[in-house]
Amino acid sequence: MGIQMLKLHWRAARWPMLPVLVAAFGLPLMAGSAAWGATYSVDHLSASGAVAVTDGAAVFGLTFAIVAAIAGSILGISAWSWDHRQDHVYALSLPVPRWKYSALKFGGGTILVGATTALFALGATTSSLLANLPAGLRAYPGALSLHFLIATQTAFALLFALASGTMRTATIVLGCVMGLAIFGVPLLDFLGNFWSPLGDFDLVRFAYATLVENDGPLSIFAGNWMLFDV
Amino acid sequence: MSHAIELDDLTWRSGGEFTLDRLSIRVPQGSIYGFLGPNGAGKSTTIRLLMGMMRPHGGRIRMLDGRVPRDLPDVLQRVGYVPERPHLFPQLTVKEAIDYHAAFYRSWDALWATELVERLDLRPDQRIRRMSKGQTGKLMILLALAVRPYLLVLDEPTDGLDPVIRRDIMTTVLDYVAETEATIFISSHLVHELERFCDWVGVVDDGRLITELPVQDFKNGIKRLRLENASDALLQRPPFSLLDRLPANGIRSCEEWVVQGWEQPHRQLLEREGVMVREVVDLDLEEGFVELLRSTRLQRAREDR
Amino acid sequence: MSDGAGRWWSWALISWAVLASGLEGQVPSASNYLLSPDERARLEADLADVEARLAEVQALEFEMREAATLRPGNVGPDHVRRDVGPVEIRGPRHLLPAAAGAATHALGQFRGLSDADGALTALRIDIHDAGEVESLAPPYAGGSGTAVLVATAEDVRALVDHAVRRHVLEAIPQPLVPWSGGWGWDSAFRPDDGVRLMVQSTNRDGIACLQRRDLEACAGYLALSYDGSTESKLALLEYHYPASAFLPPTPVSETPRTDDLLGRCVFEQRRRGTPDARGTCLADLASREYATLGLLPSHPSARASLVAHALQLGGDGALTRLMRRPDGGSVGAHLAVVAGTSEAELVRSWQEDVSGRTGVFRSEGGERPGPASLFWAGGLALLALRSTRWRLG
Repeated sequence: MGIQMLKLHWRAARWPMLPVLVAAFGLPLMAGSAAWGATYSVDHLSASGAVAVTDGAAVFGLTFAIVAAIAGSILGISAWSWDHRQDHVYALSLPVPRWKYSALKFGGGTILVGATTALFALGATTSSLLANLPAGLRAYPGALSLHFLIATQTAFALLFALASGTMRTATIVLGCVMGLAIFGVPLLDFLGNFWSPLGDFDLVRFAYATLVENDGPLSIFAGNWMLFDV
Repeated sequence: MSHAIELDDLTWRSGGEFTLDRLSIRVPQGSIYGFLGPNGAGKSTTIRLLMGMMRPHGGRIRMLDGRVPRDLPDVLQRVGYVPERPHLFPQLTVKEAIDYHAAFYRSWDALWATELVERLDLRPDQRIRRMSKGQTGKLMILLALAVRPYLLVLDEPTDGLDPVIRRDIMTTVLDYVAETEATIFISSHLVHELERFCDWVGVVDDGRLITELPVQDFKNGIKRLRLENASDALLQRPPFSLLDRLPANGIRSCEEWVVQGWEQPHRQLLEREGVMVREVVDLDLEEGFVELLRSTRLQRAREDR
Repeated sequence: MSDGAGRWWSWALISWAVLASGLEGQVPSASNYLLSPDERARLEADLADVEARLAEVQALEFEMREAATLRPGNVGPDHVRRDVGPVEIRGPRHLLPAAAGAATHALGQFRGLSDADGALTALRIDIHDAGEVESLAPPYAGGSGTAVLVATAEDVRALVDHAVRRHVLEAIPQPLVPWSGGWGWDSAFRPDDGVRLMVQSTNRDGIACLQRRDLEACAGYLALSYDGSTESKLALLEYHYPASAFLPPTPVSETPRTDDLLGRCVFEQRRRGTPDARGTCLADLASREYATLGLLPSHPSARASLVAHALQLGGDGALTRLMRRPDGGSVGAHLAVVAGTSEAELVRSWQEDVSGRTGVFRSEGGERPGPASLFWAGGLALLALRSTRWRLG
């Protein structure tokens, strides 16, 4: 049962996931390319090689977080997309409790998250092995892959939960988010004319602090994503 | 277990005006039960409630001795279901769809499924989205039968299919039933088709059950009478139910009455009242169904006024 | 063109006209190279007159600029006030939220800053909407404890962030700032960045230490421990206080920094007329215990890294302690107070941290996601299992 559902999930997700998988393997390689075959001369006053490696790691670190978010989102949405198309009638007619059906789907998606992370880890490890790092820097393929795994799993769980509901629920949730994003600030500014604490309230900052800082649900996407660091 | 399906006072209300109003149905075990009704009568709604896909607002559902929805997963293991609209994943091939469906059923008969693929003339490597409506219908039946069900719930399984495919499908189903004594609960508005093999019939209209009885009793019970000198006095305390009354006109020389519950002694009764019974015509299931519906709607309209 | 600018141009034109008319005919031609006394006197009188007029023009220009320039206290009628810790922000209502947010964020970047005990002096920021002001005022003008900003909604965040950061960094006591390389080390408040600076440093000894693990080079760069012998002490002292630093001329009147033990000793010995002041002092320092040598790293990036490490060890309130430098104490002692440990322990801990981070490929380490991330992933997973499509309809 679980294997069949995993196969189905992969069928639904494979084409959108293909470029993501390529990126998951290739971006760590690109992150370390500055350090492949590099030589560092102690007689040379400039340690620009180390700067190039850390700068490259910092730039690509951002892309790792984005790839994790995209991979998790695609897997979360595609878990339910085929069911949605025929209104869940097939799934509801199967002789399996609904919670078990959801759990099997979630488990299948988690396996696909693991596979994506494995590919990422392979790219990161390969990049680390090929890199010639100055003695001040080290590679973190293990820690980075763990970070990628948890980030992808978080995005997957969030979109899985959202996509499992009705289109109406998803529309309401996403509509509220978009509405806040677009109209929230001007509305607060307008209401601030009548009650000043509202006008002083920084919605963007509050949302960022709640979601990303202070151990919020999206805080995993922040933090240190550098493959090479001190 | 004497009844494969028991619905007691089943009630369901949609957001609009449609309502299932205290529906009570008994489907005897081993029978082929035709669930008849016009479009929009509530047949598919009843089946969805039966299958646990929707939650009723009142009433009780029992299927194969299990409570719905409490025992639903165990009950569904023994039920083969064909919905009104195919619910297959169009991206899959026939073989992939079979493998997927088989994974959920303990009683899946792989050998029987392979036989059915051949018998129903399906190609395992054909993608579902490229199949015709008839082929999809056959695949749906295959998936329902390969489970070796005790109960088949078929929601208009042959709707929109050509006669050849309809015959293939129903032949396969009836062969299975003859072999296993499974129960069939089949809904349709194609009454003339169901007449050939159903032994029970339940008629529903506008969310209410009109009648439920063996097919033979249904057919025998509804007759068209051609009468002379018919009078209203007869209708004071009639021995039968008058479903429809058509007065004589240029085309009809006699008055025609459509009655339910007609028995042979009623002829003498009428003649004693001075009414000449020119002819008693047997109605087939479809004609009887139509007359019954018409009469019910007229009566309802009078009550509403 | 505004009134002020118009007046300035008018006076400039007038001045030019005056100059031109005043000087016309007065510039000696080649044939009049030698001026007569009368001519000279007249020329000097005219020039003095021009100078006086120029001075008048400049004074007027200054007045006009001063009048046009915004100063603290020049508060608009619709300005409101908002306090963020020690920062008092005044400005138009529509710019205050962004400004307050930027101030909060900037203060938050300095880990360990605890304002409750008032270590940070007050900063007043006056914001004026660039669209409402016509003046020659620069976008930012500040002095101690004030900042006047002329900002649009887009750049108010950047300007407030800069003003607050500058205020915090200005609070870092002397001589810590030049000791650790100047304002650029505000990124050293994050220990990883501090060590990263060291790895990327251009110091020859640093490269030799961190890349070749040349312990001799490391001895100076990281102030690594010595073997206890007087010779090794002298070697380290020689490294930290190279002779070239004391080459003349060193003004006798110049007082060396209080953390410069050797410099103070040399200064004192020279005052007394000791012939080999430096050698005497080196010997004196070498006779002391290691802890009193105050052997802190010599390179600015290494020193910045040490400050970041002290702040990290010190935790909450560390930055506040950094800003309250005790009078007369050495840099090393101050940093020890910041870190909440002894100077020797601080330096040892820092050496271990840097050495431990360099040059080893480890499978563990690096910043790992914390337990909160696992909580959210698990919590969302539970939420996801509660599919809302239990039924149709």
